[in-house]
Amino acid sequence: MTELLKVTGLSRRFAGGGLFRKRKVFHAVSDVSFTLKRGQILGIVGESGCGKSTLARLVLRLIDASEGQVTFDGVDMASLPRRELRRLRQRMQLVFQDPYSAIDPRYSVRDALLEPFKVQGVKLGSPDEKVASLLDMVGLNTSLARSYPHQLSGGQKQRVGIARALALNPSLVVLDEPTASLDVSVQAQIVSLLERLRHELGLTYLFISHDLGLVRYFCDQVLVMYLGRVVEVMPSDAEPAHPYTRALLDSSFEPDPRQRRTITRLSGEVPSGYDLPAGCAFANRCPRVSDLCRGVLAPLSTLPNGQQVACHNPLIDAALPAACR
Amino acid sequence: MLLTVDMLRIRFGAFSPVDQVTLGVDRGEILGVVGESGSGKSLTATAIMGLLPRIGGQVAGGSIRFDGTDLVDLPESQMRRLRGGRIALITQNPMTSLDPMMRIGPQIDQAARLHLGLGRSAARARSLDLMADLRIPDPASVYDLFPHQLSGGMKQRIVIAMALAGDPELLIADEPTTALDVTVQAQIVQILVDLVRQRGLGLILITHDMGVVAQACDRVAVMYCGRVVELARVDALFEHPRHPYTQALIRCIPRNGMARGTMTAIPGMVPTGMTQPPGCRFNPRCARVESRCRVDIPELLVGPSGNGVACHLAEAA
Repeated sequence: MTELLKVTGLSRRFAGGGLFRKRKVFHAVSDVSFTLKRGQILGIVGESGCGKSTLARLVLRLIDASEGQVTFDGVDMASLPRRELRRLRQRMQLVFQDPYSAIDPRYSVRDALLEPFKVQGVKLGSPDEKVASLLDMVGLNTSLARSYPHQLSGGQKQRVGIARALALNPSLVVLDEPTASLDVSVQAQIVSLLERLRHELGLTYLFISHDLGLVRYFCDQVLVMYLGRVVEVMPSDAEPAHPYTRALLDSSFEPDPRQRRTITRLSGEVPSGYDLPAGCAFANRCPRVSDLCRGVLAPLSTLPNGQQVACHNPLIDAALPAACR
Repeated sequence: MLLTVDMLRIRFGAFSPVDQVTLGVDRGEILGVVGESGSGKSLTATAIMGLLPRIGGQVAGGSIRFDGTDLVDLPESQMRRLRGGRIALITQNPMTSLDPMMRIGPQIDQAARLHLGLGRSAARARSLDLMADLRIPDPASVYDLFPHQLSGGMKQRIVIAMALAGDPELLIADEPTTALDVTVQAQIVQILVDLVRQRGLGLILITHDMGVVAQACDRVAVMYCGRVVELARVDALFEHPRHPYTQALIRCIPRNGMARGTMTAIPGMVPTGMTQPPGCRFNPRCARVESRCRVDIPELLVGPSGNGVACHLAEAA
């Protein structure tokens, strides 16, 4: 399998403060590296403010990186002139949490689905046929083409958002919390639709979510972020080696009363992205913290089983197969 | 039972968004009310709090009995004494309950001064105790802060402290953790469970999250389109769900170790507003639908065990 996407040392800082205040720097994404193979699903998970949406926009170069490199299908995105970047963007698309936040509310479904072709200057022989086939592909009745967003349910809107993203036959689709505002029964529909489309169209997904349970179900690999940094990259069925991933997993309740958990208390507050500590950002909340953690940042290193973790005191036993312990 | 709601019907003009709602909660017990958007969970809570008239609705049938008193016909002056005192509400967004212009401490004091008749310093001491109980670090300095200086999880703890200040017997928490990150959600759920166990409160926990239900609740009322479709003990509900909607709802949540592609969605969507189907409201999405389901409304039959199901096809209790 070949690499479709390779991200190396990607960082993004935002200037904060203001005219009369002291200038401050907000570290949204710091030194993120990963690779995504063709046909795979990589999940990016983390709590609000961990930088996962910024990362998505950096990957698509919707915003520019402060440092680092994004290589898409062998091409360094930063080296591309504007025109070629636009052409390359046909092959990478973004699906939003609320698709119509990015579409003019006065656009009908038909208008919304034809807009990508207009933007890219693609001439269509029969626009109506194209709209019908796109709607059909995402399981919507073709009569919806004349509807407006306020007439659609949340699930229907998200299907339109997916159809629009797939209009130009992309290879990579970045899904930014695509089901976060939907009811669970509809979430399952959208997830099944994404599964089917990946098979039929050979798509590669970058799936961003705050829901570790959903990510572990849907993705091949999981990348866990905390305050802009990658703390762990693991196969989705592996046991976590980073104490933060463990805490996230222990905080998401299983829908099974026989698996009730005693919630261990995480003390301490999440530090601010303006004022990150010198060492590990999770140190003030971590049950396994040592002196080293407070002063020195642990690099992302690879465990014998291939799992990557940025921790001085990882839960290695949990991550290794029984034979290696 | 501390609170019994029987065949509650709520009306807004000619429209009844909530109908046939039967549920109850005892002291020291957590009742989960679970359902998707538009299922009537929050309206039911609003009715119990006696706040329907403020949003243009009214109770059109059934009863709400709290500790022997029917709340439906209670005059507003007496309801006002209960509300925030013996019955307290926690909302999803803490800023609906907090005054952004007022320091944290005095906001907690209010309920104790109003409902328990405490003086300024006694109320302050009590608020500080409550804040410590809720694991708010350094209560004395948080007491003097403004809401915007606190994180979302901390604000929600303050709202819980406010609800507890009037020494309630019944607590209604309407999606108290939905706006919070998962690690914070887990902490708040644990706090609520501890409160019920230690103080013997009755808690109605309204949520859309079956994981939260499985973790915290003793009994569960499943709502769909304004009706209670199933009422059961939590273990029975997850092991042997009887209503096709409950069965489908449990199957469409990803679980640990579930293989990709094995999650089953519920086809169709929740009907909205005035377009409710006749008969059982789940019939257009139900895999086991029969012709009578499209005509007759199934009644919620509650057995002596307190379990019940509103489905023509469910076996007798």
